[in-house]
Amino acid sequence: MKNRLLVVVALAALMSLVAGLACGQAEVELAQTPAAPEPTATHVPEPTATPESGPIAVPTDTSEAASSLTGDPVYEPVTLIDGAGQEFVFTEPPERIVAYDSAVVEILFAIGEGHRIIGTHDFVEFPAEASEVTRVGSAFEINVESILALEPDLVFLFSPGFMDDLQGAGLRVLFLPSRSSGFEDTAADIRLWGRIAGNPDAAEELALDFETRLAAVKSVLTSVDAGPRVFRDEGGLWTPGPDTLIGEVLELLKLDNIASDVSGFEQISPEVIVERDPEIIIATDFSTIDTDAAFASLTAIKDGRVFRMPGEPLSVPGTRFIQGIEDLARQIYPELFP
Amino acid sequence: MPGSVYGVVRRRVAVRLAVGAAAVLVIAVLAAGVGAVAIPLDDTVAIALDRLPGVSIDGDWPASGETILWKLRFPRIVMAGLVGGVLALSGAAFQGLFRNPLADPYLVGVASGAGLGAAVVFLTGSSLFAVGGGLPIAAFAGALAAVAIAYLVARRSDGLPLTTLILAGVAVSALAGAVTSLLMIRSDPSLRPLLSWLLGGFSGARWNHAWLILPYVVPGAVVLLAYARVLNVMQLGDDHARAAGVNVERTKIVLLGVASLLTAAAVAFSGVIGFVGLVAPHVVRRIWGADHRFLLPMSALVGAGFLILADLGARTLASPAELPVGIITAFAGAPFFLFLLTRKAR
Repeated sequence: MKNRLLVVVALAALMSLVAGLACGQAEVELAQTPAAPEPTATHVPEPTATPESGPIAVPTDTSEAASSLTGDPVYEPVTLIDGAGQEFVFTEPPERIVAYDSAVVEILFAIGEGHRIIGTHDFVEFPAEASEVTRVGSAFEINVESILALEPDLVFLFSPGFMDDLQGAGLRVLFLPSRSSGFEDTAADIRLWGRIAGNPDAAEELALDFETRLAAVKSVLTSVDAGPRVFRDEGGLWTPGPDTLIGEVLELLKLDNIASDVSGFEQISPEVIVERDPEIIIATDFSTIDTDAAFASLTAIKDGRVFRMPGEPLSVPGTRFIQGIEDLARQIYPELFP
Repeated sequence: MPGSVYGVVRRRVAVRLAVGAAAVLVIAVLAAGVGAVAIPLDDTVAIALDRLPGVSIDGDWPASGETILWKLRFPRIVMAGLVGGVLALSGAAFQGLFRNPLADPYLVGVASGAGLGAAVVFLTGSSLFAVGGGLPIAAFAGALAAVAIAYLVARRSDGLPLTTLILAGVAVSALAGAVTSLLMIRSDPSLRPLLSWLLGGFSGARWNHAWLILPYVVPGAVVLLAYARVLNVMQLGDDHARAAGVNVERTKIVLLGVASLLTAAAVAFSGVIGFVGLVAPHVVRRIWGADHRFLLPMSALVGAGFLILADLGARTLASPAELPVGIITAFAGAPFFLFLLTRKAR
């Protein structure tokens, strides 16, 4: 009896040790965020994913704001239609934001407004300063009580799942769906958050930087007619279709994605990979494609053109996205991007 | 004369098993002709024959066709057959051992133990093992560890009470499953490869996997089949079995150990594929009765054929994408199982 009890206790201790170990490791090593498009995300109609129906910021009458006597720069009220179809008006910048989205955290810190963020979710790891922000849940669960305790004046969500709970608790909730495609609109997002946070100038600078660098990449690539066939392995032969952020980047880089008939992220048939014979493979650390004998005859493997690129930053449409594009461009076209 | 009646029965059983084996072979050959990439039938036949020892065929089939068939599709069919057979055989043995129609090969914690092993290796990353190489080893170890823990907890000085073992297995499964869920929820959406593994599939099946599990599968299957007669006696209850000269406690340990080992080997590469191990034995029992001398081998054949067909669906239905084979086994198996339940049992 005593022995058996010991076994159980030892077992429980071992399991919690393993769990703790793996949790810690996972946080360090898995550098992706919930803003990564999930397999189902692409099947959901996204009202703000296209420029036409995006969160268009409508300039409103500025006369009332102009009467501010504080001496601070004048805050231009921001009106927008959120992802739930509701009109949302900011007449002053939110001071205590729970930002449940990696891209928005990146953007606010980049324009010097990160001090407004008082809460975010577990997977936000960038920038380094964000590590000090209080965590109020993972991407799949949200702790309403701890959010209430923070007394935010704005909760920003990338998915509508917890909207009713939070609004029911009396919180002001803004929901804009995270981008799973349409990466060029990142510039518009930056400008929007600059206006919401009352720092449009810094946002304009950042957005212009994004646009200029993007235009530079595009102009260099005008000399490329049709780039090589490419396969992106997220691990386990999961691959992005053309309607994903990374799929769009592949297209921008004139790469011929062999998974052009895949929608969102899907696990592609190994037979199809062999038949379509990629000339370049862009793999995450989870990929074992380069050590798999069945793929040894692929042109990319024979030519040694397997590049490693983590899921980030090309899954978060934030401030690092353009850097991700440039890094990938340099890897694939070293002669064009010295 | 009783002797000749017995001979007739034996012959009938042998014929049925031979027909079953032939059916699995036919299914395998037909499955080889279909895939995400269409390969002309004459090329398929030529590529297959060319590999036979002493046969050399001059053909001008494309090299990609040979790679697809020989390195991807054929080993995949073999693995699906092996795993399906192993799961069904282990399931039949567990149902017999526990005298419980709900028993399946995962009853004592194999699946959740394997899942936890896989999750830990996957999430701690390639520093510990290279993913791919390390994941099957960890899954195998996790599966066996879960069963060993359930066994150690349930064991009494005077034997192994099976009800306690089941309960211990349920508890170990719940614990391992909870830790796996915790790991996944604390991690992030790049878990797709792990999720595919947990749902089961043969996308990564290669010849070397078949070679690696055969040393477990062949002797394990032989042992389980050798216990068929003992399992028949065990259906009368432990006391009757003891009276009939069966070493009940040893039988429990051997069957539990061997069936778990087989299942762990199957799960290590293919992930957790549900339903096969539960349903195949029931199908056989409903149609042909519960004599384990027939039930065990026929379940293996039914499981093999069923999983080859299910994987055929997994690799073609959503082409160019793959579906998790566990979804297919449940979709195809559950309605058939329900239909079977409406029929009168034999």
